[in-house]
Amino acid sequence: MYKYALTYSLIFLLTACSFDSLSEDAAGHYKVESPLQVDILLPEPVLLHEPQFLNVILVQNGKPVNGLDDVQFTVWKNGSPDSNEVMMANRDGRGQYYVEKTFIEEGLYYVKVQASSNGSTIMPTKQFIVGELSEKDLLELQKGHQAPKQSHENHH
Amino acid sequence: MKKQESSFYQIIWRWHFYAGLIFAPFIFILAVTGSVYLFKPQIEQWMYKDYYHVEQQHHKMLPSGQIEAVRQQYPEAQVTKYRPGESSTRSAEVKINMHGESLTVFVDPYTGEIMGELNDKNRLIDRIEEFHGELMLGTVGDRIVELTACWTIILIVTGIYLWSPKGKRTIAGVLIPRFSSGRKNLIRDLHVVPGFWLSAAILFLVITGLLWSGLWGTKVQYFATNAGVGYPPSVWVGSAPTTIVKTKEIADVPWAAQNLDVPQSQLQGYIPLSIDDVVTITNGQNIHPTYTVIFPKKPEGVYTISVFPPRARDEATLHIDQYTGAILADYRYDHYQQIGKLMAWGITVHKGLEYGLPNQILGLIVCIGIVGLVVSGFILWWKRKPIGHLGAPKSPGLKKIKGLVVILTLFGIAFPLVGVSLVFVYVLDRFVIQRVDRLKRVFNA
Repeated sequence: MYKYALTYSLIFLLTACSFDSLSEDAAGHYKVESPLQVDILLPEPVLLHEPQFLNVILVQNGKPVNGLDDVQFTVWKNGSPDSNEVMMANRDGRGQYYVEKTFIEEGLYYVKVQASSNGSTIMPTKQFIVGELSEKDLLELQKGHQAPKQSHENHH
Repeated sequence: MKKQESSFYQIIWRWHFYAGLIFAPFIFILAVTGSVYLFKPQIEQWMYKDYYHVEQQHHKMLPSGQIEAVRQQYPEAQVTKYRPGESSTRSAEVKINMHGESLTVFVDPYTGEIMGELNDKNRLIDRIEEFHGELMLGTVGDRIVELTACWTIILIVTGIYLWSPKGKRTIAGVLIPRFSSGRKNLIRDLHVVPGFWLSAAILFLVITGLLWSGLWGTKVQYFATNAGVGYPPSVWVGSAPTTIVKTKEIADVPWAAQNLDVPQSQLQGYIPLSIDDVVTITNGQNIHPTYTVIFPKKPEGVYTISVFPPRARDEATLHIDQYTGAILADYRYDHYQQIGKLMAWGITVHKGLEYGLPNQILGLIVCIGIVGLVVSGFILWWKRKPIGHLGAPKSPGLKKIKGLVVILTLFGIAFPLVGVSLVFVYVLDRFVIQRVDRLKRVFNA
C-alpha cells in the first residue's frame, strides 16, 4: 500500500512541476494573430530646407504588404498642433510607402502613420528631431510624452 | 459479509462526521459570503449610484482629456487602468495608484468633472470577495478555503453513501422528509434529504470555485492551457505578449525622460500610442462595452483590453502593441478551447451572472441550503452526542479498509492539499490520539 502511495506521490510531484509554467508552444494551440508590422524609416539626420523622404515598410506574415491605398502620414511639430499636415502615401510596389516633405523649422517633430490590412489597423507615431532641440522642446520632454494631438477635440 | 458492510458504513460515517465537524464553520462562512457576493451588481449599483450615473450630453471628452482631469487632481498618481463606461449615462473610471494604494476615480466623461473616488481597499464587495476566497488571510486563507472545498467533495460523496437507501424502497426519509415519525427522524431527514437534493449544485459550486484556488486551480489552469484544451495564454495564466517594436527603436521618452542627459538620438523613435487611439482601435473590434484598458507597465509591455461581462460568451482579452497599435492577441470566448469554454461558463454561473436574476436566486437558494445543512448537521450531532466523547463511530483501523485507502490516495493525489491533510490526520491519529487514553476516548479511536 505504502509503495503505491509513494509511487503515486512521485509521479504527482514530477508532473506537478510542469503545471506551474507555460510551455513555449502553448499559444500555438489557440488563435494566433498575424499583426501588421511597421518600420518607419527617416533620413538621418533630417535636414532643414531640403526635400526629405519619410518612408514606411509594412510587413504581414513575414511578407511585404503591397497595394494599400489608404496609408496616411500625419506630421506635426511639437507644441503646434495646428501644424498638422496629413499626406496620403505614394507606394513603390515593394511594400514601401513614402511621402516627401520639406522642413523649414528646427525642433521636435512627430510623424504618425495609419494603415489597415485584413482588418488589422496600426497607427504608430515616431518622434524625431530636425536640426537641434530648443530649450522649450527639452522642457516639454522633461514633463513627459505629449500625446499626439488630433484634429477634432470632441468625438464620441 | 454483513459485518464488513456495517463496518464500512461506520467508517464512512466517521469520515463524514469528522470532516463535517472540522469544516462546518468554513463552509458556513463560504455560503454566507457567497450569498452576498451573488448580488454584487445590484448592491454596487445601489451603493455607488452617485458615482455611476451621469447626465447625457452631446459630446464626450476624449479619453485623454478625462484622464488629464484626473491627473490634475492627483498629480502624484500613476494611472493604471481606464474604463470608458458602457452607456451614455455611465461615468468613466480611471484607476490610479497613489502612495501604494489603488483608487478608482469616477469622471463625468462629458465635463471632465471628478465625481468621487473610492479606495479599492474600502470596497465592501471586494472585501466580501476576499473573505469568500481567502478568509482575509492571504495565502494561508486561500489554502484553507481550497482545503475546505476539497473536503466538501468528500462530505458530498460520503453523504450520498450514507443517504443511499439500504434495502427498503421508500421515498419518505429518502426523497422527502418524514414529518410525522418523530422529532429525531425529522432532524435527521432535514439534514439528509436536502443534502441529497443539493449535492449536485454544491458539487458544481465547489468545482467551479476551486478553479480560483491558488494551488489546485492554478495547476489545472496551466495544465489545460498547456494541453491546448483550456484558456489561451494570458487570459488566466501566462503573461501578455510583448511589443513587436525592437527596444532600440523606442524613443527614450517618456520612460526615461526624468533627466535628459541622454543623447538627442535616443529621443528619436517610436512613442507610445495615446489612450484615444487605443480606445478607437478597441471600439472598432466589436467588444462588449464594459471593457477596461490596462496600461502597460514597462517599455516592452502592451495595452491590455479586458472584459468579463455577465455572460461567458462575451468575454474578451486583447493585447495591443503600445507603439504600433497592432493587435498582438485577440482572445474571445470563441477562441477558448472546449474545457476553457466550460470553465468560463462555470465561473459565470458560480458568480450568479450567466442567467441574470434566476441564476442569482438559485445560487441564493443553494447557499441557504448549505447553511441549513451545516446547522442541521450540527444539531444532529449535538442531540446524539454522548457525554465524554465526540460520538463518532469507532474506527476499525486502516488495514480492514484497503479499498478506501486506495480511493483516498488517488483523491489525495488529485487534490494535493487533501493528500497533505490526510497524511497529517494519519500522523496525528497514529502518534498522538492512539497514545493518549483521554484523546482516544474523546475521538473514539
